[in-house]
Amino acid sequence: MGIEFDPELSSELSACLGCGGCNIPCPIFNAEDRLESSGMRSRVKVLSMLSKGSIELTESVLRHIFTCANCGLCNNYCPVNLNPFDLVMRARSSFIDMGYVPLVTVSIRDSFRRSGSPIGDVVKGNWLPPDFQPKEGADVLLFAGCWMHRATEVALNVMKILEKISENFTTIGPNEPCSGAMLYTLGERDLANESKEKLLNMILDISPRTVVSGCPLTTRVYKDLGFIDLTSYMLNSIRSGRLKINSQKDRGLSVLPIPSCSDESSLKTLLMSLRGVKVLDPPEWLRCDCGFTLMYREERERFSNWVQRVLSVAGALGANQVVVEDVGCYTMLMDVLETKSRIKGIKIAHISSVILEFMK
Amino acid sequence: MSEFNVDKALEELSSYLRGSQLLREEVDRYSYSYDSSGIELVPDAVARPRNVEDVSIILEIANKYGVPVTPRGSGTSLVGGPLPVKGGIVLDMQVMNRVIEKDEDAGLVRVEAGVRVREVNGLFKDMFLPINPDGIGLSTVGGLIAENSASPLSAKYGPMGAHVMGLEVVLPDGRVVSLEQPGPPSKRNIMELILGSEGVLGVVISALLKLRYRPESRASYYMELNDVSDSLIIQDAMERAGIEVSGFEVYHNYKELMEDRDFTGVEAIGFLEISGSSECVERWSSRVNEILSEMALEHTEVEGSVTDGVWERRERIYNIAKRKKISIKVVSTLSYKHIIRDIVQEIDRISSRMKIPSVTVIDPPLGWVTAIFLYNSRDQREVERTDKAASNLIESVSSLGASIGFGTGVGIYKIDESFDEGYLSLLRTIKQSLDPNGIMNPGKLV
Ligand SMILES: Cc1cc2nc3c(=O)[nH]c(=O)nc-3n(C[C@H](O)[C@H](O)[C@H](O)COP(=O)(O)OP(=O)(O)OC[C@H]3O[C@@H](n4cnc5c(N)ncnc54)[C@H](O)[C@@H]3O)c2cc1C
Repeated sequence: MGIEFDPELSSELSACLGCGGCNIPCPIFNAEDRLESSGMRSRVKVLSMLSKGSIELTESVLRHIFTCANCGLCNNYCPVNLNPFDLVMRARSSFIDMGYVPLVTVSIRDSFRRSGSPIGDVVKGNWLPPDFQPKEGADVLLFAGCWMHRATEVALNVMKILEKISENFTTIGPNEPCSGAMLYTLGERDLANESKEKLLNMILDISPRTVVSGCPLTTRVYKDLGFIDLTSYMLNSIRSGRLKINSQKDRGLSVLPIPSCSDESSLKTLLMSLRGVKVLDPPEWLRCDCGFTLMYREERERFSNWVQRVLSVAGALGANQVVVEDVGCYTMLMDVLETKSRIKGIKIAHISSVILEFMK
Repeated sequence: MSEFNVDKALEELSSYLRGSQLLREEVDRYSYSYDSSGIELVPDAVARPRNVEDVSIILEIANKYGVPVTPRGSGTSLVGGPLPVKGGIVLDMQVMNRVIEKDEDAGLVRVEAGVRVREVNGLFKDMFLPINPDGIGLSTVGGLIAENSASPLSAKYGPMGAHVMGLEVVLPDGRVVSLEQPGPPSKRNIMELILGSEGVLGVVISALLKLRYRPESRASYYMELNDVSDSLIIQDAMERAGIEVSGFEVYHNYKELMEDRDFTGVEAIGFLEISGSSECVERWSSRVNEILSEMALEHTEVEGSVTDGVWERRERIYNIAKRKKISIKVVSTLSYKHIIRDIVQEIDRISSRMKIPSVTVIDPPLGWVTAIFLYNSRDQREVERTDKAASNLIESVSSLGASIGFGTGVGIYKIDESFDEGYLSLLRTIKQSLDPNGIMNPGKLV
């Protein structure tokens, strides 16, 4: 007897050609020397075997289905447009509905329930003044996202930049809920929706014209919300002249960008708009955002291997700086490296600190 | 129960390889149990060599314990080539993906077996490897060599073997041999033996490849044919006029492909491409138009991105597979012009007898006919009927005088005596002398 997915999902799984196109951009497949079991094809195939009943569901199979970088890049590489990542997300939520909750997601669920965040316990808004209150009717609202609450230094940078762009700007502060996007990718749709609703209600109270998201995963997973990524917002502001950039300095920077996993990431374009910065071309799999959180929390060694691979790519391309778009990715990366100084002559920076350096 | 002792072999191997190079967890084994054929066969273990020494020691030890070893590239095979029919170790060649050396002036690159087509094609701006069977460039050089793969541009550039100038191979007992051109012609002969041997004679470690210049100009045509045989007449007319066809593919039972159009009276659609210098293409182009018009065929010239549609053409088939939520089974045949029509009819007959729809792809310049059966892999009876259709087809096209497995290889479908007794016994003798314990990819080809 196979696992009974809904018939639509089962037949889509069986329509996979098995060509492996989805492995091409897979960050973990590439970082682990093209290990088939790290790639997306394996997840889709294993799901199809489960649905046909040719293999049994075990804890390690379940773990396999739930543990990926959640980057969703594979969706763009399927020659028959199966959207492999979406298929896997649907399968994950079917497992949850059937009561198969993998052990690997338990601590993320727990911390989400406990502190409203999937990244572990975090005190939100501690970079803001103690008496901070969100400004109702503000033009621009920053949805910081869980990781920014942990990365105080990035949060302060972002505040400085946004204050420069808009006088009428606010953020939610200590009560900011998670958007639920991370939980959504793990198939926990009810938990995710609850949190998302909470966030939307808070945003409604403030009624800003623009919501700038510090969490690229949120804009990627919930396209319908119409949030704009922090990077795109900074780029638009430079283009419209609201954010003035110093064009005199040439610092001889050779930068390897690590864009978020969104199709619309503007990190590269933003960096290219800075004078005197040589922007290197990252390989197609070199992307990262908060979707990596599960891997970071539960499979630290694999995440560390990914980091090592990133550094060796940076070294091979002759980069002297790696610039990370997503604050979650930046924090996880720095945590693994355990030092904020230069690693083998390569400096790691979040995009906000680069922009701050170039700001007039 | 397997008749070999994989535990002992792995125990011995573990003193030579790192932990991450030998995998036995269930998820790893499941992940190496499939390719693009829809077949699933789970190995006992997976080995991931990093260099020629690793491959050599893996084969030596496997040989000592009689453990089967099945080489694997990207796993895009349509015929179960990299699947372990007899269990044992799957040898994942993808870690070996270095470009060893390149010389743009000579158009030569030496790459490890795990390098993919798309990577080779990124090496020189003006040169490329014209073989891209899966259309997305995922297949590895090792896989292309093992299958002697072909793709639409093989009409002009030949199959993979035409681009291979040298090979480094590990034999089943762990010996390493290097075969390279220029050298005595006999070296080329041994190389030819490895080309298309589907991983049953040894493991390809690296290859010296000669790349081709990208053509200066290209033009391609879409046409509607009233009869599949028209495509053979067109090909003949092209050859007679001295026009070099770079690719020509005809799709029969295409109606499945383009439901939104009325194709009354049309039996097949075709795509033809010519390429060369701008002057040449311009001259040929008007002649091609004349030939097609003389035959009163509906045709249009398509250019630019459409010309790049080698993959797109195939994608149509895969797209209907997706739309109809079905799987595909492929039987590839090679023959002469005069029996192509018979083969196509035979595919139609088997298809309707077994009630399994099919699309047939005909490549007139090569004499290559591929039957693609479309079925629902969730319906056991359909699966059985499809298997039957494939084996019936193999039997009947063999008796017509066609060979099977051109480009794609034959994989688990094997060749049997009815195909060619003399050839098969010779092949078995060669296999026996190189691989007396039968450890290299057993259950395939021979
Ligand atoms: C959508 C699609 C369309 C396709 N169309 C075509 C086509 O038109 N023409 C065509 O020829 N093929 C076609 N194929 C099949 C496939 O792409 C080719 O057979 C390709 O050469 C396989 O390469 P691979 O790296 O994936 O090898 P695999 O599938 O991993 O292995 C193929 C065979 O090669 C052997 N092998 C792999 N590496 C080595 C090595 N280093 N040493 C020794 N043996 C090795 C394996 O044992 C196996 O027998 C298609 C596949 C797909 C998915």
